[in-house]
Amino acid sequence: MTAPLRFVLGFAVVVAIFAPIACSDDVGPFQPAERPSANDSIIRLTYSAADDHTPAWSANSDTVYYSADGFQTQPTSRGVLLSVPRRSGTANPLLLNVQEAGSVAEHWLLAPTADPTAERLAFIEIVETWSPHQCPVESFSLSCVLDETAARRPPLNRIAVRVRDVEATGTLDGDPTLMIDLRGVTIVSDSGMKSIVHNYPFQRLFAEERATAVRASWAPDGERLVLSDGLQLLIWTVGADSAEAVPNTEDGAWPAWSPDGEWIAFTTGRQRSAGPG
Amino acid sequence: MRYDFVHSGRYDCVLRRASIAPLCAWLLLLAATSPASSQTTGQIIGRVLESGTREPITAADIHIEGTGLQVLTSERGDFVFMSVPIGQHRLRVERIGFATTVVPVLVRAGQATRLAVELTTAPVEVEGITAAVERVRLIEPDVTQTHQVILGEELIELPVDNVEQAVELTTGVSEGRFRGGRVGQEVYRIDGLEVKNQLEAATQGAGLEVSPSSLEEIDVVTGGFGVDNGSALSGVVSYVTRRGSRERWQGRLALQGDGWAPDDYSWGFSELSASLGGPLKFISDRTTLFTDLLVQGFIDGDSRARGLTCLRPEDGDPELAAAIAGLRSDPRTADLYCPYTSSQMPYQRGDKAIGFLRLDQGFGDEISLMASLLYNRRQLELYTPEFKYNPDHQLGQRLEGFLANLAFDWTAERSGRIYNVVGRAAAVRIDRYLGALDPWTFDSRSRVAGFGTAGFRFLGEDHARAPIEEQLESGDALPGYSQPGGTTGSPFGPAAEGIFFTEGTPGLANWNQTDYFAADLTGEILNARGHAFRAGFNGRFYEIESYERALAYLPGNLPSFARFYPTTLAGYLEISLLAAHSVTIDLGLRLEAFKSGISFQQDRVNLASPVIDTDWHSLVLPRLGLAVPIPGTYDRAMFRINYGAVAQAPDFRFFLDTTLGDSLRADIRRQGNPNLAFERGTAWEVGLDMLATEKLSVGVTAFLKQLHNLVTSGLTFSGFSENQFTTGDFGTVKGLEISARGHWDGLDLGLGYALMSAEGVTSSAFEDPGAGLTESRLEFPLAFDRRHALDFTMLAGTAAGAAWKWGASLTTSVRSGFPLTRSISDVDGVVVPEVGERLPWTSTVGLRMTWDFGALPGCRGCSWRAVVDGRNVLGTENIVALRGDTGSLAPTAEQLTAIAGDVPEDMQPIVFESPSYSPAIDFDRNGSITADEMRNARFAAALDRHDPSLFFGPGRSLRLGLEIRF
Repeated sequence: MTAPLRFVLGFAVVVAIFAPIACSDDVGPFQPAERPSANDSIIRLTYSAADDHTPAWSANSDTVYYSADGFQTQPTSRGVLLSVPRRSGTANPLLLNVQEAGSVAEHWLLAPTADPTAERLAFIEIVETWSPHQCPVESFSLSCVLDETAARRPPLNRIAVRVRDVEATGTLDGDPTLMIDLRGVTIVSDSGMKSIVHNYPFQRLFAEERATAVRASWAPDGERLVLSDGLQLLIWTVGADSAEAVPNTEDGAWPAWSPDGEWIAFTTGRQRSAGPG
Repeated sequence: MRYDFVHSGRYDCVLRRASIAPLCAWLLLLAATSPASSQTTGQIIGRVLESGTREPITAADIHIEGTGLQVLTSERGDFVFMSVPIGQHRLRVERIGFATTVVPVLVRAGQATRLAVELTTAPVEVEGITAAVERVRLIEPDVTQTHQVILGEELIELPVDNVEQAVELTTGVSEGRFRGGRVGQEVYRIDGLEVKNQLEAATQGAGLEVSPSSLEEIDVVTGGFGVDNGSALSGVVSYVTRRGSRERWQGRLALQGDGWAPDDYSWGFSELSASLGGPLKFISDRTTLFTDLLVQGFIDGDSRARGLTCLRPEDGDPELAAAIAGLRSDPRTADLYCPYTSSQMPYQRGDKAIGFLRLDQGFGDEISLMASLLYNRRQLELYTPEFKYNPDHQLGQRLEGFLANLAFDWTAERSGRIYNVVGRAAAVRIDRYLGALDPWTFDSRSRVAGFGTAGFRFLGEDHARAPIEEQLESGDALPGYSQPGGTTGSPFGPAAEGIFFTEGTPGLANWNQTDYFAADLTGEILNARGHAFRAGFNGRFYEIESYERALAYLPGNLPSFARFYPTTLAGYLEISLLAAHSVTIDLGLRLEAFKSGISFQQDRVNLASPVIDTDWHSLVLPRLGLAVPIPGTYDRAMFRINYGAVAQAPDFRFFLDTTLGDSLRADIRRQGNPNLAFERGTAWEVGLDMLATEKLSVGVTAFLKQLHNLVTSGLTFSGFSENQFTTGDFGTVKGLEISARGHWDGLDLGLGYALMSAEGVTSSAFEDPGAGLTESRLEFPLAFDRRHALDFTMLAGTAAGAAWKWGASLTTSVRSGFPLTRSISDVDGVVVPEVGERLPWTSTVGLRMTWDFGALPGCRGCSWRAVVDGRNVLGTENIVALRGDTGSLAPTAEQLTAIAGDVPEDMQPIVFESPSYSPAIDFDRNGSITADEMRNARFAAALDRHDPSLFFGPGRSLRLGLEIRF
C-alpha cells in the first residue's frame, strides 16, 4: 500500500471515529414567550381601548374579521380592517397592500365580510364625510349653528362598497365598487335666521357609536350583496354600476342574507326621517 | 551505553563514552547567526582536530547521515557543508587511525552552525550509539539578539490552537504586544519573506496565518533584531515551514474536538490537521513536496468564561444592586432578569482553513528552488449585544489570504568561504469583508462539526464590490440591508424597542483588499573564522482598496472608497565579526523608505484647496549588537548589548478617513493623513545568560525602548485638523525579563517573567479621545503597559522528545492587568481621563496529555495515539476589560434608566391583539401593557443589553483527539 493511500485510509478512519463526538449543536437563538391562547367558551379577542366593530367570520370559521378605530401598527388610522384568530392571538391588517402601503390616511375602511369562496372581501370605504364645522351652502349659512352633539364626529356623506380579491395587488380604484351618496343631514331654519342640523338615525348612530348600518351581506351565490344606504335595502350585483332598491324595506339596516339565498333578514328603525337627535 | 554532553573547557562540549577512555569530540556551537531565517536550509562550518595535540586532521571523511551530503577536510582540517536541510542531523566523522565519531547537530534555517570535532587516535567502534540533539541551545554565546525558538515538534505538542498562542508563551510577549509595544509593531516572516499586514496590522494583526503543524520552527525575536528586519518597532516573528523528506513519505493526521463535553467544557471546537510530505522521485531525487491542511470549526469561536451572562448585583453600584434585587424578587418581573444565558456565546459560529503546499527542488549541490502556496480563510460571526435577539441577521467577518512565494537559493563554498544569495518573489493578497451576514450562511450552508466548505455570504456583497462609480451614481442602499429596529422577539417585547434590534440588519459594510508584490534579494558571505557580511534589498509594491459604509441600509448613504498604490523599499548592510574567537559584533545599517501613493486635499471642506502629492519618507537606521562570553566561565555565561534604531511605516489605514466604533457607534470619524511619517523607536538592551547547571540556563535582560512619532488622532497640531491622524504620541518602555530554560531527559521546562513599565502619551487612534486629551498632553501608562507577565511551559515524556508511551505539556500564564483609563466627567461635565486603576490579574492553564498506542493495526509503519487537550482547565474567569466610565462591569443604575428612556404617562396601551404585545411584560396579565409595565420592562432590557459577557477571558475547553503518524 503506498504512503499516500495509507494516509487517505487513515484519514477516513479517524474522521469516521471522531466525527460523531466532534459535532455539537449551535447555540440556539432566544425563543420568545408564546402569546397564550384561550380555551374558554367565551374568548376575548381584542383588548383595544378604542372601538372594534362589525365582526364577521372567515369561510372556514377559524378567523374573525373586524374593523377597528386604529391599530397598534397604525395608530392614526380612522378605520382599519383586521383579522384575528378565533382562538385569539395577534391581529393582522387585511389587504396588506392597501393598508400597509402608507394609504391608511387615505382610506377609512369598515365592515369587512368575506364571500363564500373566501377569495374576496367586501367592505365599506367612507369616501367623504361632512365636515363637523361646515354649514350647508345655503343662503343663510353664515349664521348656521351646528348640532354640537352631532358635530363631535362627522356624519357620513358618501361611501363606497368595494369588493376586493384578497390577493389583489393593485389600487382600490380597479376593484368593483358601488358609490352611494347617503342622506346625511336636514337643515332646519328657525325664525332667528339660524340653521339647525338634524341627522338621520343611522347617521347619529355612526357619529355617536361608529355603528355602520351600511354593512353588506353576501348572497350564497357570491355574486350579489345586500346592504343598506341607511334608509332602505339595496341589492348590488358585484360589478354593476348601480344597485337595486329592495321594495318595502324602508328604514332597513343590517341586512343578512340567508344561507339558502331565499331570505334577507334586516332591522328597521322607528323613524325614517331626520329629526332632532 | 550512555552518552551525554559535559563542558570540559572553553567552547568545548565533550562526548564521553562512560565505559572506555574518553572519546572527545569537541563540539563548538558557534552559530554565526543570521538574524533572520532567510533561507530554507542552513550551513555547517567546522574543523576536525586531533585530541590532545589539537593538530588539524586532513582528509577526514565527514558525512551527514540520511542526506547523502559528504565532504573531506582540507589540509587545515576545515570543512563546510552548504544547503543542509534544517532539522536534527547526525554528523559522522571518520579517518583511518582515529575513532569514528558521531556528532549530533541541529541545523536551523538560514544559520551557519559552527563546530569543532576532536578525534582520538584509539580506534573505537561506535555503531549503535545514540545521542540526543539539543532541541534548542540553552545558551548561545554567539547570538546578539534576544529571542526564543519554538520547534515544530514542540508546537504540535503544546496546548495551543494557533501559532499566535505559541508566540504568547515567549517572555515579553503579551496578548500580541511585544515588550510593551502596540499590536502591529511587530513583523512576521514566512520563510524569510516579510508578510506584515501593512494596511491594518494595529487592528487585525498579522493578516496571514500559518498552521502549527506546517512549521519547522518559530523564532520570536523581542530585542536586538537585525537590520534585515524592517517595519517593526517591537518584535519579529519568523516562521520556517517544513519541507518534505527526501528519504520517505511521512504524514500526520490528527482530529480533536470538544463537542462531546458538557457545554461548560466546550467551545464547540473541532479541528482536523493533516500533513503529508515526501520525495517526488518521479521528478528527481532532489524534489520534495510538503502539504499541510488545518481546518477548524467553531460554535463559539470567541469563547468567554461566563458564556452568555448578565450583570450580577455585585457587579455594579448599590443602587444597581437594589434595582436588580427588586427585579428578581418580584415574581412578575423575575423572568426579565437574565432571560437568555448559555455556557457558550451565541452568534460566534465560524471556521478556519489554512492550506499550505511547498515544493522544493535542488539543482546540483549549490542551487535550490522553493515554491510555496499558503491559503487562509478565517470567518466568524461577531456577537453584538444589541443584536442578540435577532435570529436572522448578525455581523460577520471573513478574511481570505493567499501567499505565493518563489525562492531561489544559491550557496557555494569557495576557498573556505560560504557565499549565499537568496532571491524571492512573492504575491500576496489579504481580503477582509465585514458586514451583515446573509441568513443562508447558517440556514443552508453545509457544515460538518462547525466547519463549512463554503465561505460566508454577506448581504449585498456583490453590490458593495461593484465599481464605485456605479454605487455612487445609484445611491442605493445595500441590497438586503434594512434599518435595525423591531419590537418583538426579545424577552422584553415592545419594551426592547431601540435597545435591542430584533429586526433589520447591522449597518456596517466594510471591505478592504491588499495586494502586493514582494521582491527580496539578499547576499551573505561567511568565512571559516566566523565573520560574515550581509546585504539585502527588498521592495513591496501595493495595490490597496478600502471600502467603508456605515449606514448601508440608508439610500444615499454613500460609501468611502479608496484605491491607492503605496510602495515600501528597504536596503541594508550588516557586518558580523567574531573578534578574538569569542566576541560577536554585529554592525548594521538599514535604509527604510515608503510612499503612500495618495494625492489629497488637506482641507476637505474647501474644494478649491490645493492637492498635495505625498513624497517619499526615508530613514537611515543604525544597529549595533554585541555578544560577549564572560571570560573564565568557559562559555557558560555571556552578556549581550544591543542598540538599534527601528522604524515602521504607519499602517496604511491611517492614510484614509476612517469610521470607528461598533455597529452602533458609527459617528466617530478620523480624517486620514496620507503624509504621515514613520513611527520610530530606539531600543537599548543588555542581557546576561548563564548555565546554572548543564541542563538549566537562566537569563536576565534589561531593556529600554523609546517610541516616538506613534500614530495618534487626539492631539491637535498646527496645520492639522482635530481628530486627524498624526504622529504625535510617544512613550518609553523599560523592563526587566528573567527567563530560565531547562532540558532533561523527558522533561523540558521554560519559565519567563517580565516586569515592565510603559509610560508616555497616547491618545489611542481607535478611541474617542475626548476633549481632555485633545487639549493637554497627559503622561500616563500606555494602554499596553502590562506590568507583570509570567509564562511557564513544561513538556514531558514524548512531548519532550523522549521515546516514552505518554507525553504531557503544561502551559501557565499569569499576568497583571492592563491599565484602565477611566473617563470621568469633571464638575463642568467635561470628560477627562483618569489613570491609576488597573484591570485584575489573569491566569490561564493549558494541559495536553497523550498516550501512545504504538503501531496502528492494519497500517504498516503507522503509529497512533490518543490526546486529551484542555484549555483554561482551571476555569478562571479572567476579566480582560471593564467599563471606562464606572470602572466596573456594569453601568450605573442612572445610566440604565437614561437608556431605558422616559415612557410617557399617556402612552397608548399595547393590547393583546397587537403584534407588539408580549405576555412577558404584561405583568398583571390583563391583556394590556401599560406605561408602568413598559417602564419596568425597559429598565430590565437596558440591564440585559449591558451583559458583560465579552469582558471575560476564554472559557474552558476539554478536547479528545486521535493522532496517526507514519
